[in-house]
Amino acid sequence: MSALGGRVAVVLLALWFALPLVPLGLWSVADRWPAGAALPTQWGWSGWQQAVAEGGLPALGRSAALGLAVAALATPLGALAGRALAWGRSRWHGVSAALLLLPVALPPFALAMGLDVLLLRLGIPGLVAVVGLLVAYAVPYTTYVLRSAYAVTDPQLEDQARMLGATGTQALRTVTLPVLAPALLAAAALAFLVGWSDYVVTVVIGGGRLVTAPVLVAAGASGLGNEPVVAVLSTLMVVPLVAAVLTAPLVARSLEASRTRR
Amino acid sequence: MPRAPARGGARLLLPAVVVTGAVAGTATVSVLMTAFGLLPLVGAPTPGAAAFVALGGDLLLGLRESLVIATLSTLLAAAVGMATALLLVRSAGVRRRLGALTATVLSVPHLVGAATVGLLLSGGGLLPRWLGVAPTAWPELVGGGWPVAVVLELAWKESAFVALVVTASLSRRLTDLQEVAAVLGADARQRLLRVTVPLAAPALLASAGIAFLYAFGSYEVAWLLGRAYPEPLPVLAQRLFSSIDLAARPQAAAAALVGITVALAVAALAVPLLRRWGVGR
Amino acid sequence: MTSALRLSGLSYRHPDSAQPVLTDVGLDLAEGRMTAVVGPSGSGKSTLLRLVAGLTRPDTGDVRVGDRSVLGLPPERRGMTMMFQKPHLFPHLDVLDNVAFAGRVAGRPRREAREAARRYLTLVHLGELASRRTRALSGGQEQRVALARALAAEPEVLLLDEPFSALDTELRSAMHRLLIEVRAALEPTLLMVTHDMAEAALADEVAVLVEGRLAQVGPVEELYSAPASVAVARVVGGFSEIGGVLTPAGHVSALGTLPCGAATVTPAATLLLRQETVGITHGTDPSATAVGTVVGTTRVGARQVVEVSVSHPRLPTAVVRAEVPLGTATRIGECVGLVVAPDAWCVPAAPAAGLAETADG
Repeated sequence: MSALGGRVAVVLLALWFALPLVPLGLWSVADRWPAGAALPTQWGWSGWQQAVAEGGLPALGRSAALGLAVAALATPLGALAGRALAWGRSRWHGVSAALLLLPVALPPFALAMGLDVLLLRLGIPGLVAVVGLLVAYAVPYTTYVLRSAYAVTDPQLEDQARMLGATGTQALRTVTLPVLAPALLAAAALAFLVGWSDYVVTVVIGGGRLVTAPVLVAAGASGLGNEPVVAVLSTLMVVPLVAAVLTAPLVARSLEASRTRR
Repeated sequence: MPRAPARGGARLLLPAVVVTGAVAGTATVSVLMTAFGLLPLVGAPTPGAAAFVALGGDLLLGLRESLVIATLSTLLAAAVGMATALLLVRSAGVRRRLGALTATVLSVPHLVGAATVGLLLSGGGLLPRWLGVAPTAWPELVGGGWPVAVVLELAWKESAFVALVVTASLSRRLTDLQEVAAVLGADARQRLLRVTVPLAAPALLASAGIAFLYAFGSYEVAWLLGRAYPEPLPVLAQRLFSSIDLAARPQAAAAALVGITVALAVAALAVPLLRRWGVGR
Repeated sequence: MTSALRLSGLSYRHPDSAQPVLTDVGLDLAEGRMTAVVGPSGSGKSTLLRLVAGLTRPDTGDVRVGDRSVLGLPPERRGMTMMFQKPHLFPHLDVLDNVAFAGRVAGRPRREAREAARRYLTLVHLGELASRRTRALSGGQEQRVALARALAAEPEVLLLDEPFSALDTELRSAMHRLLIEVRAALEPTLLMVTHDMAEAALADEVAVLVEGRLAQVGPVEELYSAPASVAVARVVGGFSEIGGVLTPAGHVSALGTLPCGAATVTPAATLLLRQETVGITHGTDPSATAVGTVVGTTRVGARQVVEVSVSHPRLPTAVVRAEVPLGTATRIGECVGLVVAPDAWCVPAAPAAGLAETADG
C-alpha cells in the first residue's frame, strides 16, 4: 500500500469510527435545531435540565451500581477459573472452559425471558436474577482476560515467594495479585461494562421496574422530539467510559513507574 | 504443614461453573418448558407445539431477518476491523490516534450506539442535514424496507471489537516473523498475504464469530432502528413476551428457543473450525 | 577465491544515542567459508548482522554481495538469509511448509518447493517430522527446522545471530556437529555472531568486535597465540595481563625480563600469558621463572586455575594465572615457583588498547 493510500485509509476509518458520535455532542447542547439546518440555531443546556428532571442522575447511579455489582462478582469468579485453566490440568478443564464460554452464544433476551418466567414460582427477587444473569454474561470475559494473564505469569513466581518464607496467602497477596493487577482491572472494567450497558435484561426481567440509564435512553429514543435529552443521557453514559479508556494507559504507566521506583 | 495455594485444581473452576451453569441452565430449561406449554403463567400445563404452530411464518421470517442482519453486519465488521488492525500494527502513530478511537467505540453501549446512529442516519438526522438532502428525499435507512441502520450500527461497534482482538493477537510476534519472512525472500505483499493475514486469521474468525452471535441475539438495535415487519427474533419475542395477552408467552418462548438453538448450532459449527485454525493457544 | 560478501566502512548510531554502535567496520568473506564475529554483549554484534541483512540501514558504508552493492535493496532481495536466536517458526504452517516458505515466496510451485524442503529437512535429520505442527516440537528441533528453513532459501550468504545460545550444552554441541555436517555437504558462506569462543572455533576466521570496532580478524589460533590488544585478549579469555616495559632484551616486569614477540613497539607494554602455558613448581625450584604466593584457586572441570601474586621491590605486583591438573597441591598463602613458556606475547599497555593493526594474513 502506498503512503498516500495508507493515509486515506486512516482518514476514512477515523470517519467511520468517529462520525456516529458527532450527533451526541451537537444535540446535547442544542436548544433548537429545526429540520434542514446544518447546525443548531440555538445553543443551550435545556437537554441537561430535562435529563435531570426525568431522573437521569439516579438512573445513572443505578446503572453504575449494577456495573459495580457485576464486576465485584464476575472478577473473582473469572480469576479463580482463569488460574485453574491456565495453571492446572484436570479432566474437567475442557468441558468447564466450554461451559464458561457458553453464554457468549446464548441470546440475552432468551435467557432473560426464561428467568423471568421462574421468578414468581421460585420467589427470587428480580434484582438478584438481573445481577445473576449479567454475571453469567460477564464471566466469559473475565475468565478469558485472567486466563491469558495467568498464562503469561510463571507459577514458579509464587513458589519463589514461598521459598523466601511467605505463606500461601502472603504469596498470593504480595506477589501474584500485584503482578496480575492490570489484568484484574481490565477484567473488572469489562464486567462493569456488561452491567452498565445492559438494556434487554433489565427490561425483560421484572418488566423494567429497575430504571437504569439505558432504560431512560431507550424511552427517549423510541419517541419523537427527545433528541436533546437522549443525547445528554447518552453522553453521560459514554463520557466516563471514554475517560477511563483514554486514561487507562496513563494510569498503567504511572503504576508501572511507581512499582519500578520502589 | 501449611498448604500450598491450589495451582489450578478443578476446585477453583467450581464457583464460576456453578454460577454460569445454574443461571444459563435454569433459564434455558425454563424457556424450553414454556415454549412447549409445560409452564403456563396460570392454569394447567398443555403440552404440545401449539406455540410454534401459532407463530408459523412469522417465526421463519424472524429467523431469516436475524440471520440476514447478523451475516451482513459481521461481514462488514470483519472487513473494516481487519483493515483497521492492519493499519494499527503498521505504525505507532496510527496506533496512537486510531487506537484510542476504536477503544472509545468499543466502550459505547449498543443502545447508545443505536440512539446516535438514529440521530445520524434518519431523515432528520445529521447526515442528510450536512449533505443538504431534504428529509423526504433521504432514503429510509432507519425503519425502512431494508435494515440498513441496524446493520451499520452493529458493524460499527463490532468492527472496533474485531480490530482490537486482531491487533492484540498480532502485536506480540508480528515484527519478528515479518523480519524472518523478509530475510527468506518475501516482499511486502507476500509478507502481508503469507504471514500477516494467516497469523491474524484465527483471531479474525474468533472475533467475527462472537460478533455474529452478538448481532444474532441483539434486541435493542433492531428494536430502535429496524422496520416494523418482519421483526428479527429478539424483537418478535420481546413484543410477544410483554403483550397483555398471556397466551402470547409460550409463543415468545418459542421464538426465544429457536434463537437459542440456532445460536448454539452456529457456535457448535464454529468451534471445531476455530480449533483447527489454532485458536485458543 | 572470490569474495561472497564484502563489508566496508559500516557505521551506525541509534537515532537517540550519542555513542555509535558500530564504527567503520570492514570485513571480507570468501565463498564457502565461515566467519565468526565475537565480542562482549553490547559490542554491536547483532546490529552488524541487521545492517548486513538490510533490516537496519547503516549511516555510512557499503555491503556487497559478489560484485554488486546491495545497500539499496530491501532484505528480501539481498540474496541472504538470517537465523535468529529464537527459531521464529511460522505458527500457521507445518514443519515442511515452514522449510518450503522461501521456495514459495520465490514463486516455485508448492510441490516443488515442498520436495526441496524435504531434502533440507532430511539434512538436519528431521525428515520424519515434516507434517508436524510447529508447536509440537522441542526447542532443539525448532532450531533445526529454522536452520533447514534458512538453508532451503539457498542464500548466497547465511547469517547466524547467536542461533544456538538459547539451547542447553548438549543440544548446542549437537547443533555444532550438525553445522559441520551442513558445511561439508553444502559449503555455504556463513557469517555467525556469538559470544562463545568454543562456538567461534567452528569458523575458519574469527573477527573480534570491541566497542563497535573490529579489533582483530584472523584464524582462531591466532587470537589465542597473538591477540592484537588487551581488549581482544579479554574477549578471548584465559590470559594473565602483566604490566611492564618493552626493552631490546625483552619485557621487563615483576616476573623479570622475558623475551617475547610483540604487536607493539611502545615502551609501556602488557605481557599476555595464556594460563595453560604457565606451570607451577615448588618455591625453591631453580628452573622457576619467578617465585610468588598463591592468592586463589578455582576449579574448572578436571583442571584448576591457580592465581599467583608475584611482588617486586620496585615494579608493580604481577598476578599470574596458571591452569594445572586438579590435585596439584596448593594452599592459599603457599610460596610456589612459576614456569613460563619462552614464547610470550606483548601488546600495548591496557588503556591505550583500542585500534591496533589487525594481524590477519
